[in-house]
This record gives sequence, C-alpha cells and structure tokens, in this order.
Amino acid sequence: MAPVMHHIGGEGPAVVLIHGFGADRLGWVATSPALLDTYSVWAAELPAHGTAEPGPTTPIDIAQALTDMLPDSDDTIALIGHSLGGAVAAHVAALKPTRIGKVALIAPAGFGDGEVAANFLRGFPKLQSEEDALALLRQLVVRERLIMPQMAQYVLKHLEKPGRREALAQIAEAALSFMPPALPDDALVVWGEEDAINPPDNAWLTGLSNQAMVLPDTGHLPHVEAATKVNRQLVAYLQA
Amino acid sequence: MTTPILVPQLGNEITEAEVTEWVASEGDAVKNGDLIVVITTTKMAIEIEAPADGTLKTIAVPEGDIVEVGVTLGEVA
Repeated sequence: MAPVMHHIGGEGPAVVLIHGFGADRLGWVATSPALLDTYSVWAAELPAHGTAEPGPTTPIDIAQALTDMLPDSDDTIALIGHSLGGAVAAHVAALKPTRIGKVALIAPAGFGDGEVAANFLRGFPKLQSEEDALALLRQLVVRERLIMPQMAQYVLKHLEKPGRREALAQIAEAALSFMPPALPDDALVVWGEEDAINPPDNAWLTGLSNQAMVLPDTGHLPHVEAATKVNRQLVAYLQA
Repeated sequence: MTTPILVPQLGNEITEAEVTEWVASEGDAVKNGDLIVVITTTKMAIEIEAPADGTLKTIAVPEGDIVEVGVTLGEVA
C-alpha cells in the first residue's frame, strides 16, 4: 500500500513532513533536528518514493490516501510539505480540516505561475549514470556541494526497484498538469529566490496575505540550503 | 571558553555521517551561524554552522571520516 508513514522521532504534538518529487523521508534530515525536542515528527513517503510502493499518481489521490494514515493525535496535526509534497499537504488540509492545524509549504507545486522545470521532472525517472544524476540533481540547489555523489548513487539505486521509473514518470506528468488546491488561509509559505525547478512567482507571493519567506541565494531546497533560517521560521510558525 | 561543534541529532534511523568538507580552517575567526563544516548522511549533505563567535581552535575529525551523532567535530574558543 502506498504511501507510507515513518516515525522519525520525538514526542509531543504531531508534525508530518511530506517530501517532494524524487525525494523521501531522508530528505528531511536537516529539518527534523529542529523539531525532535518538541514534536512527534513523522515523515510520509509518497507512492513510488522511499519505502513506498507505486500507487496513486496525482496530488489529490495521493493526499486522499495519506489522510487514512495520519498519526493519532489529541491535538491538530501540523503539516510541512515541500514541492509536490506542498501540493499534497494543501490537499490533505482541505480534506481533513478538523484534523490539520498549521500548514507550512516550501516551494509548493501548483502555487503561482512560475514555470516548472519539466526537464527535471521528466528526466529524473530516466536517470542511468551517476554523472547525469549529479548534473540533474544539482539543479535543485545553488551551492552544488550539497548534492554529493552519495545522493546520486542513492537515487539510481532507488530507480532500479521494480516499477519505480514508470510510476515516477506518471507522477511527473501529473505534477505538470494538475489543478492546485486552495492555499490554506494561515499557511506559511517558504521559497528560494533562485529556485530553478519550481521558480517563485514574485507577483503572486507579494500579493499573498499569508506569512511568506523568500530566501536569497537559495534554490529549490530551502530546508536544506538555508536550513537554519528555515528551521527558525518553521519553529516560530508552529509555536505561534 | 570553548564550545564544541557537534554532529546534530538526526532522527531515529540516521546514526552517522561523513565529514565531507571543512569550510573553515583551524585558527580562522568565525561568527555564530557561519558555515563551518559540511557532513553527508546516507543521502543528504548538511551544513553545520559555528555554534559561537570566536576562533576555530580545533578540528577533531578530518574530512572523509565517519562520525556518529553527538560526536565533537571540533571546537570554537
């Protein structure tokens, strides 16, 4: 069954992290340390990603499946979603308004009119060599040293699992042509100014009444590339 | 006063990381929040910042070594 929910650690109110296209729970390694002292931190793995088998391919269908595996919690659950996971998080919030509290969206897919890098989404499932994987993955960041050969090898190994390439190709196509959910009213929006994968739409961001944080010298992974600033903002938002 | 630079807690399943690159050298002046060392986990690289203002007094773990969570990578004094 897909998706899969992993408990990363910690105790307290539940926070669910929802990764982006091609990522998995380990992509939150720079985020979870800031949350583990205060929260019970969970990481969803979307279909065909990480330990999850292929399954639904559209953001709304993935969100629907995810609503069945939200952690038990007396309090409302906070969601932090990145990229495709941001679109999924917004859908989950709309589907389960009484269960979901705060929603933080990092470079969320489907919001604003930035031109999504179709070459990244379509190229990822076809990666074969470490060289090509490194070149593609480095589009994610401004500071390329954050994408090491270990990550390229990790991605290629994942793509060799049965059915992953095909499923990821379907998810990529769905991500390029889906109807975005409504932006939750009090959602925090975080974006990297230099995002080459899902570029920020500055006019859209400026017009938002939501709390928004746009980070200079930062690409598509603000939670990695500007981890300290983003973590500080996330914690302040979650505790407000 | 010395302040240790520690490998942060990384969750239940990540217990070690590789020291990838020291961005600062021993003797360099550093400010709290300056990028000082990059470590790499199974998948992702993580930037570790100086925990205090001062001088990078010691690099305790060289590039390429594998370290466990909680280990002291170096000291700022």
